[in-house]
Amino acid sequence: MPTPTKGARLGGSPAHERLLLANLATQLFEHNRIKTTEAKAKRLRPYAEKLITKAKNAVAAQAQYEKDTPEADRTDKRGNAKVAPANLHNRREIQKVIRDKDIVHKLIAEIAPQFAEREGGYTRIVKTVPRKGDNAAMAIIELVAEQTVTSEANRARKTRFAKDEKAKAAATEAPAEAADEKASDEAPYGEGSHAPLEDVNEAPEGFPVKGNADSMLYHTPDSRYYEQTEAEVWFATAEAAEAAGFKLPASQQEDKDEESSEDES
Amino acid sequence: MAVPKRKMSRSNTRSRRSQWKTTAVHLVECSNRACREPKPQHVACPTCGQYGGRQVTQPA
Ligand SMILES: [Zn+2]
Repeated sequence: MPTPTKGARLGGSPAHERLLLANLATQLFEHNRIKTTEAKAKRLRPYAEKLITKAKNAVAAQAQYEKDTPEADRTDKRGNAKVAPANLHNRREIQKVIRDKDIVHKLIAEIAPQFAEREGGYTRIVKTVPRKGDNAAMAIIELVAEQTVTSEANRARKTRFAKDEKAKAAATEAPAEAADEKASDEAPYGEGSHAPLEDVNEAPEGFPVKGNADSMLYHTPDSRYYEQTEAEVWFATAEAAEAAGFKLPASQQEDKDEESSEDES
Repeated sequence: MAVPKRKMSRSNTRSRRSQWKTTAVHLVECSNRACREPKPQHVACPTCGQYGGRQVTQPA
């Protein structure tokens, strides 16, 4: 049996709390992330995750039904598609809470398949600075967008492979400048870029800007973290680095006078 | 019902209130190496918007 919630209700009365949690859950599924007080976020988390579980059950029931029932038996006399009873049940359980049918549909059609691989822990709470006015502790609660570790590892392998391919393609386009080095090694990110020399800490002549291929950030010589960065590629100018898709970190983009940047992530 | 016998003097009021003190908020350096701004612990950085290496908010 579930343990009853102790203490005062959110909003003062049980009815108010019920509506408040239902509204918060609806908003969470609509916007994927919401900012609320920490107390509400903590109460919302199990509440919303149970709804996601019901949505996943609905999806699984429908899939099982379609697997078990021959296609001819899945339409009724009027030719409408039949729905698995467990799908309908779970859908109605969700509709007890979420009164907006668009959101119910989004929950089952979009959010539940996205969490197919994940076994619980569908939401994440991150605390933020207290609210101005009443200094209430605030938090952001969001649906976890990342895939679980195994699928993420597969994807990372894919992207690294794709990046190598892209670098090679870009390199073959770039004209070969030095005779003793192959063209594909010379300018891996197009014009204005230079592959590292034998001594990785030595800047190639005329290429003072360091590029970090892991984080896709570039570092100018006056950056605080320039010294400790190991350059995978060198650029002639910051503009050449920008053109190759390298960036200043988000926090540094507003004031470019103080050009420090993030180290290897 | 218990009722105060005398008006409380300004001196007494102010003496009592002189004990009201605030404490400094405990701040730590942001773990984002490009930021390093002081921020409350266990909270997404209000300056750069990162927490635990993840961009959580867009700073205002
Ligand atoms: Zn920060």
